[in-house]
Amino acid sequence: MKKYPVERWHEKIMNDTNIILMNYFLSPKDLEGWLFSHKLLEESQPGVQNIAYFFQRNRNDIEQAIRIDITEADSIKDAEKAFLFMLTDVMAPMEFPESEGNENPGVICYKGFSDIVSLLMFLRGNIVVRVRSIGQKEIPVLDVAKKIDADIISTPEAKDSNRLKLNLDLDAPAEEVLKQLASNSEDSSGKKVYYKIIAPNHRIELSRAGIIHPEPGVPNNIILYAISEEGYVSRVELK
Amino acid sequence: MPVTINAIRFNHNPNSINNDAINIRKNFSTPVLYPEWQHGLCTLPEDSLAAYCIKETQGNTISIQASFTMSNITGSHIKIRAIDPAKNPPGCNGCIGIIVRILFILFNAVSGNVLGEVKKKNVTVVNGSTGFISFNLKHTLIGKTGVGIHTTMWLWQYSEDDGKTWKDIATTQHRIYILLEAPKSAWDLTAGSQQNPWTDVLNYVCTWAMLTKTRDDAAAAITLNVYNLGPSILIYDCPGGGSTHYTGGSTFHCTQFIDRLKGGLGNGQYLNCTDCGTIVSSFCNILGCDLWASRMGFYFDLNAINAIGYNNWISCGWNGFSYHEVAWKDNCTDADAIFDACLQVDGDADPANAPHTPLLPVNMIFGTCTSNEYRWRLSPPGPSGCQSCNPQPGTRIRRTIA
Repeated sequence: MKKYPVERWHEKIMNDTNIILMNYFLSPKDLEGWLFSHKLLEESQPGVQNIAYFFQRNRNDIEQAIRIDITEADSIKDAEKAFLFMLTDVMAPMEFPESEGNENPGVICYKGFSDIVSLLMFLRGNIVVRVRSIGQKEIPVLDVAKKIDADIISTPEAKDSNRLKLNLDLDAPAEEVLKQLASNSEDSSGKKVYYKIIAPNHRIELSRAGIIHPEPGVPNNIILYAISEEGYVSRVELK
Repeated sequence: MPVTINAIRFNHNPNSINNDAINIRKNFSTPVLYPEWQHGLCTLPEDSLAAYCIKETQGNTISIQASFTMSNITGSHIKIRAIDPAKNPPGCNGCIGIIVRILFILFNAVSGNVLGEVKKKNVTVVNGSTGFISFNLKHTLIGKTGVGIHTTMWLWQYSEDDGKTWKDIATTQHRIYILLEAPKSAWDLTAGSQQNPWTDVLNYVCTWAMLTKTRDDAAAAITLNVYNLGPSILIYDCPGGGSTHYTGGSTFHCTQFIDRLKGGLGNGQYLNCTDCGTIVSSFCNILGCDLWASRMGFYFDLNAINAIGYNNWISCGWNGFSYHEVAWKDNCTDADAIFDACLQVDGDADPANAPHTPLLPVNMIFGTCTSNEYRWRLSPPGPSGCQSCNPQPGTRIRRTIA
């Protein structure tokens, strides 16, 4: 049986900046130098949504291609389970090697069984990411993985926020706003939107809209960003 | 031309498969043209698609429907028929003539007209139109040559003098798929279902399993052809630890797999045993086989294997599998046979040691740790080997085709 240090993962991720994403998607234009091919929606486990994105270096080129799996869980705990599932639902009888060093994406990062780092799997917040080379030519994927991780942890600047018409009651308490997010993956004009919640001192579970607020004296701030496919960003401090 | 053929229906009763064609579609997103042949839209055989099941049509009269418009026809009753314009081989004398005839017969058996001819019928014309009329076929060859893809060409003719003389109307061409029997799950023959058999899949399986007449022979041919896709099209996923690339939960990403077969990116070059078991079971079941994708395990040692796309006995260099998945017959138990397109086992009397004799497991009983069958060839004796490699029939699945 494969044995991964799940408790150590949990400890590390709880010490990380608390970021939760909802309805997260990669924009086809996100990866410079790559052309979007197609995407597939999968439900690998109940309640865990996986989107697989496929990119090619050039159109009709099967030499250099990558697959990016973005798995979004409702909570950090569920993300840890999804990450463990990703690592264990393979035919190899042994564990993937952990990718050591400060350059790695994510809080926890594992790589594949090749000398070239052509496969990286990492965990950040409630998001599990797998990036791998799938073309005829095996290529390294570290740069792409780092770029996605940077996108996940970035603190966006509000941009053209008036062009985002959110169907949310943002004056409601934070718990109520969280409940509204799941059913609002588009703004009123039909633009696809994902949400990033940065709450350094809170613990958030999206499925239950559960928020554990910090101890008295610790700053009580939850920032919600709504980000559209076109790159418009709206920033709201929740109550 | 006083008579025009407007349309032909091969699948004129979507609820029956005994006397006509079955419900099919091109792929997940595209239905086939219906009626299957239409004036002005169909020029080539691939513009007009139909599929028949050998078992269900055996001994039955096959019928089609066609509609015509007519002008300047003197009587209200005429006869219509369609003949095979390529029925007779070109006339040559001597040895060349014999060779040409043999080649002609071979060609016809492999890909020639399988639907025979359309029997003549009296047709009533009302206001210049006939509406759809049923015609019976004669001299059909469905079942004679097994699985295949055939081009049927018909020269439509009419007669105003009770069949004494015939005048040509038009020539129509059709691509006809011949399946062993009604496709099995996850394929679904319900009209309009996206799980109706796809011609994008039939184009491959009817070629791979051409001329086979039994489920086992068809499944063996498909398994061999999937294994032979390596290494240029597909290769076992060693770098990724053997993860699936063409399935997701209970879904088979068949659209992407077809794209890969056509030379596109698909979901990339890698695959694993789950993919192979799903591809083989789905591709066989479209022809009427009755296979499942099912697992064995868990965590067992391996004898030397030659994984798909690797022309050696080292493959990934692993000494075991956490699980393995194959296309499996019946109840997916140790008494049932498997088809494994993912790997070759050692087929000699000593599979645990070199030299190794490549053997692709097709229709091989899973077996026990002592019988010279699949399990014994895949995994060495002992608690961490063969004894941990047990059938897991609870995992058997037929994934939705998407």
